[in-house]
Amino acid sequence: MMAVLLWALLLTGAGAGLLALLDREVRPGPAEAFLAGAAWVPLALFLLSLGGLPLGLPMLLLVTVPLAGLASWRRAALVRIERGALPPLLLVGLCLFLVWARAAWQPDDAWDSRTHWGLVARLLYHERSVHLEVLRDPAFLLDHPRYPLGLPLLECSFFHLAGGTPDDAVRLLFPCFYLALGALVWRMAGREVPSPGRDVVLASAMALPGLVLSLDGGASSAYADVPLAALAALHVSYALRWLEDGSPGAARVAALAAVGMLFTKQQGIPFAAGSLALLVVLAPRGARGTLLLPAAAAAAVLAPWWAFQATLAPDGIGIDFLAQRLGREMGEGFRWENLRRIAALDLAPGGQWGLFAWASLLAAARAPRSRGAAYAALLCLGFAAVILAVLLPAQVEIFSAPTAVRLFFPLILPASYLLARGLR
Amino acid sequence: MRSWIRLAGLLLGLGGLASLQLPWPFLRPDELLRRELFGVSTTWGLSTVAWGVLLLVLAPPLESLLAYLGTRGLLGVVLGAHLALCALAMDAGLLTFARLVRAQWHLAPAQRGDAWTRYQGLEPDDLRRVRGLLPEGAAALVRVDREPDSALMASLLHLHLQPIRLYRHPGAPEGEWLASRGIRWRIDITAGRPQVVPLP
Repeated sequence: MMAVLLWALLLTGAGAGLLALLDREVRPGPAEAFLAGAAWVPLALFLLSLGGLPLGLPMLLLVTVPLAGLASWRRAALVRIERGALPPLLLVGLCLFLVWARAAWQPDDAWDSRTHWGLVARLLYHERSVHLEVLRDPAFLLDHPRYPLGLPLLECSFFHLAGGTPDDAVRLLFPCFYLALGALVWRMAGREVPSPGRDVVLASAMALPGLVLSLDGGASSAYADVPLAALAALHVSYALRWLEDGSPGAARVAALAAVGMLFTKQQGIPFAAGSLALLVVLAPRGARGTLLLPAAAAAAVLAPWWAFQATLAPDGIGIDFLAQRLGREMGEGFRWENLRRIAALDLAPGGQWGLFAWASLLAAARAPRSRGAAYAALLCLGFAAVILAVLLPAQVEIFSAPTAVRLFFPLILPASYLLARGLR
Repeated sequence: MRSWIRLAGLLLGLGGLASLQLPWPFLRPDELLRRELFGVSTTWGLSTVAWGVLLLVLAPPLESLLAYLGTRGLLGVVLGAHLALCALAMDAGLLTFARLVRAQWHLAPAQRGDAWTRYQGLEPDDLRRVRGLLPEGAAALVRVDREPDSALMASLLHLHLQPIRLYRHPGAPEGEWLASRGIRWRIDITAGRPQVVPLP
């Protein structure tokens, strides 16, 4: 437990220092700092290890401690909470308890978590280098050799602090992302609507059954979806600020979060690409130029990873299977029964997303028009369309219904933004 | 409104108590948790009592919340229903988790994920035995007797033997192929039971 706390503190300190360098106008809160650290640390470890330096505790301290020295914090303000906010806040408290307690109780036994990034994290820890020959060997039993190294390196950094690979503690890293996601939703909602509206938005987003209870992608399951959703939330919250004031600092932090998304999960690619396209189209007058440099810098720091990724063995059982199946099935057209299945699981009352999507749609219709609202609404619709385009042709039920629950998690913050504006 | 919420809380609380069948205070806690009365499990009965108490205690803030949502039209109604459904789902999640903790209380952390492994057809103790036979970081070739389950079995084995490296080969691998990967063991899985065979 101490190692988890130290790990979160190191990431938060490094992230706060980095945010102080990137954006001098707004001082970050702990959630923004933690997520900036979670985007920065694995990428820095990867680049240094690619250059031949050994992965280990000294390297982890090298990429975090000097930055933590630059950190400056936002002064905590007194938060006004109305009487009606108590029930939703109690619900959020119950969700936090459930997520942490379940993560603490169950060892790391979830399939994706162990067979994809968990295995690579353990290999990185033992080999102390990203130059793993086994990732280039198709005979090695690994489903996704080309899976982004963000999560494996984050877990590896935790192993160096823990001095081993504790199966019963690694799950505790993931609720940190859930907490950070909640903090970002709360802060964003607070800018749009006062209590108790802010607290209703927070509870609506954080108490989604699929997010809290699912052992196949939920916040306590050690899957990549909640970290991706939290990084997407950081990206969207700074993108929304950039749409308001065109601040170069906001564009730089949004680009850092996009790098984190792309280095965490492949699904980050359509999200970041869609977001960038929308930002270019909806840019405030004269601010479009401030996007160029951060976007180019993000591509430049990711280029070594993409080059490295291309040298790895093709994806094994899982991805080959999925790619072949989906490739063939896409030619056969959509299976509309999948849409019914996804709707029944996600959108029906009592489903994994409750009535959240319906409430967001209603809110989008009544929210005051603005660049931010247009960005959030189009991002939600566009990303949902991409996910559905991938899932609707699938013959295998597991790829159409249960997977759909977690693939939509990156939409939590933009949809919450629409909710908050709709409650004004 | 506040009176209606309190009345609902009172009815829920009394209903929950009734489902537990008095004189429940005189039962030992473990006995109480084992009982299932009127077709309602004791945990659900206790949960209903808790809901009743919550409604009684939280009547004023709930009244404020409902009044706030009422001013937001259809959006407020949908959000209120969403929050109520989520609260029920969390209640069910909490009860399921409590039952899981009660069932696994005596187990060590490493044993708590075993049920899932057994469900997939492998015996966790076999995997621990194999793990004990192989040194940390060892490389091994995996052979599985069954198709099309072989990929699943091999991946399951991988799940529990990390960071031991597992390789597959479609045929009979040559000495050089094995040596270049440092493979000195073979794990044969027959009918879900793994056996370690040292290679010459």
